Amino acid sequence: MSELLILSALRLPASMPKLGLQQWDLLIRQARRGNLLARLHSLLAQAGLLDHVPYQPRQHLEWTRVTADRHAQAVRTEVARIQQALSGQPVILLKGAAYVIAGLPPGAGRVFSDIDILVPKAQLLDVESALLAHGWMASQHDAYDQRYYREWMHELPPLQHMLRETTIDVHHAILPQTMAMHPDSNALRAAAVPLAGYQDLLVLAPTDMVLHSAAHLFYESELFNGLRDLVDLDALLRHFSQTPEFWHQLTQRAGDLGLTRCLYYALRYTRMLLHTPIPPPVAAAIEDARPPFPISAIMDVLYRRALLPDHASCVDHATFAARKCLYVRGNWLRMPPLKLARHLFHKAFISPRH
Amino acid sequence: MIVSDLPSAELGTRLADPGLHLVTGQFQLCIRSPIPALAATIGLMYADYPLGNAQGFTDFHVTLEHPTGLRRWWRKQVVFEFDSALPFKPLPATQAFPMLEWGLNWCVSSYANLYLIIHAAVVEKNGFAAILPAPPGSGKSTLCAALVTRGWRLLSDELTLIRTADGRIVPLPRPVSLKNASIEIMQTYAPQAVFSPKVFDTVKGTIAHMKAPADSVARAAEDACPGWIIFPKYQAGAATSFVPISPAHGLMRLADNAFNYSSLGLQGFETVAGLIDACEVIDFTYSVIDEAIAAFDALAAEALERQTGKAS
Amino acid sequence: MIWIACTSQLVVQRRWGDECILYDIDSGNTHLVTPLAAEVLTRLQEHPADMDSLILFFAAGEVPCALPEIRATIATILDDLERIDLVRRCAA
Repeated sequence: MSELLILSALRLPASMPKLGLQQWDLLIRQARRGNLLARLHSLLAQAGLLDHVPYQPRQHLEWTRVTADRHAQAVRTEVARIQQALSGQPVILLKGAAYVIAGLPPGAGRVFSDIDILVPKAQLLDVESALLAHGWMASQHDAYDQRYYREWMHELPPLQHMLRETTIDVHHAILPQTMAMHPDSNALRAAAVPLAGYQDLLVLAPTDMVLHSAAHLFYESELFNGLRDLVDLDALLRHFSQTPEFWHQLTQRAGDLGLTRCLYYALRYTRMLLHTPIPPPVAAAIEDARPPFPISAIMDVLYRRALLPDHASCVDHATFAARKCLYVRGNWLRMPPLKLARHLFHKAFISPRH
Repeated sequence: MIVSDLPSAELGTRLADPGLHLVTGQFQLCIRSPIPALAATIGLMYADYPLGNAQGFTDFHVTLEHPTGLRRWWRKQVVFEFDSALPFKPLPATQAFPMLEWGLNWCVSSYANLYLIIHAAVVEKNGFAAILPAPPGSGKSTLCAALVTRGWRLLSDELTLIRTADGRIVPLPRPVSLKNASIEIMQTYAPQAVFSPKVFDTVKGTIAHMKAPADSVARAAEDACPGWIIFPKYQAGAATSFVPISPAHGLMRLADNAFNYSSLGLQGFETVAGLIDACEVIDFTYSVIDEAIAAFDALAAEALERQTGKAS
Repeated sequence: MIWIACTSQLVVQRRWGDECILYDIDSGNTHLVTPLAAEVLTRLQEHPADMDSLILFFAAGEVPCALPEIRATIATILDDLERIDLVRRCAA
């Protein structure tokens, strides 16, 4: 596949003003499908290049900026409400909400579906009670789904606010309990960084934020926002690596948390698809965590395709199969074999979604 | 060049591949479809619309085609595709044209966030626009269709676009959608108008579309100043009446009818408040179309007099 | 017990005659209220207050026999504003 416009644009925002109208047409569509339109707007804005974008594609970028601004406002409001409901309980924000409230680069140009927080497992039920008392309610899940989340995964079933209809996911760990890897939640909480100007609100330490983002991307079973999540990783790496000790701390921490394989994938695919600058010694050292051949080669074949937007211009004959393989792999990693069969069977035959 | 300049065979070929580029209001569309019946209706309803530039930038690429699998042949269906996604469930293939119209409305109302988009018809006379928000069953579409066959310019029958930067109404004239009894009413009231074939058994009942007047399409680039916000209600046997609505109540009702009021945040609120400041807000009841038209014409005449009075 | 405005500055007020619209920038919610309710909110945005000091403020210049009605009106307004998430009560 010749270089995709969306990848060129993300790698080098300054290349966008040189595009012709037909190229803009395709780029806007690829970006929209990959949930990256608002991100493109924010990259162009940061580089001072918006005025160089032709009128029509600029309209599309501005339309999406309006949505992203509103989402950022909604996240701030929602986090304030969560703080009120859980007053006195330290709460660690995860993923998108953390990026927005902490003012980190992946927060710019983001569209949200829910807010993720991390609390100690011992306090899970108290947190749930407090949220229920402040207007959140359990989503419509049957007993099986309740068990899936509580016993096997790492979170409560999503809670939805009855008036605002916003959703909150309460995690006690960053990976499901059924997985082989168990990054120590106590260690993550101990290293969490308080947010200046906020009471009892924290975010993960920089290395942990990167590792969580990587774990979410490479162990989740669905990749609809794969490229968007990879872009987040790239932005976090570029931002945090401004601190010289960061790379050393990152590889060290990956080892401590049992996530070196995950870090390998993160560095490999950010560099491959987004040309993230990774110091050669770091890239060389992480090769130790590469899966053995032929697995590493197979993963390349799968992820090169599955991480691209699901737009006709970004897929080839193998993309559908690649996504399917990674879906099964994702479930496989999250659930031991017998549970997997029961879960997929249950999802497919007992609880139809539509 | 306009769509009717294309011979019908070429229209069909272009629609099938690579797609027909045409211009509706501010938006460049590319419609792709291999369905012959749909091509015929598009050729009829969009005859007056300018062809777009296939080498330029297209705002919305949409495709309507039969799905793969069984439904390609048996109880044929049609799917609407936008940017490789299928936002809607398939419909019976006979509903392809209404699906196109609903799909295009969805594209605009989902994305075009530099406009406050109100679920309302909007028509213009003497330089002032009347916005007609109304829930289904209020007779809005019949009233809108009747007005545009009696000298009012069609700005839109379904999506009123208010540019948030300056509060002006930006036209998006497209075929006027009519349902059930109002189809025959309009065919009698305006026998010279052009109508699509009826489509039966849709979720809204029987649907047909009335071609937008050529003049309205030709003037699609002319934006308009808002004059009135009129909530119409058809009520059999009722006398024609205008009842003023208080501005604050008008604001709440208008916001309730705006698709993207929430998404626009403060700017959405300020745009709605600006409309309320600029317009008379009225509840309108009618039962006889000619009386309704006369009442609207009187409003337009008054507005013109006020404006001329101010100028002199 | 004192009353606090939930959002300090971020509510836009527009008034037409005897009706007032409040737009809460944080939540995007829009409310139709009486001018008195809008003034109670403005007062609480300036600084939190308990019921007695609110009544003192709004009843200034009124005859004493009007006080019970004023108290009841303000109590209703506070309940309504609380229900729409614009104010909340807090232990003193």
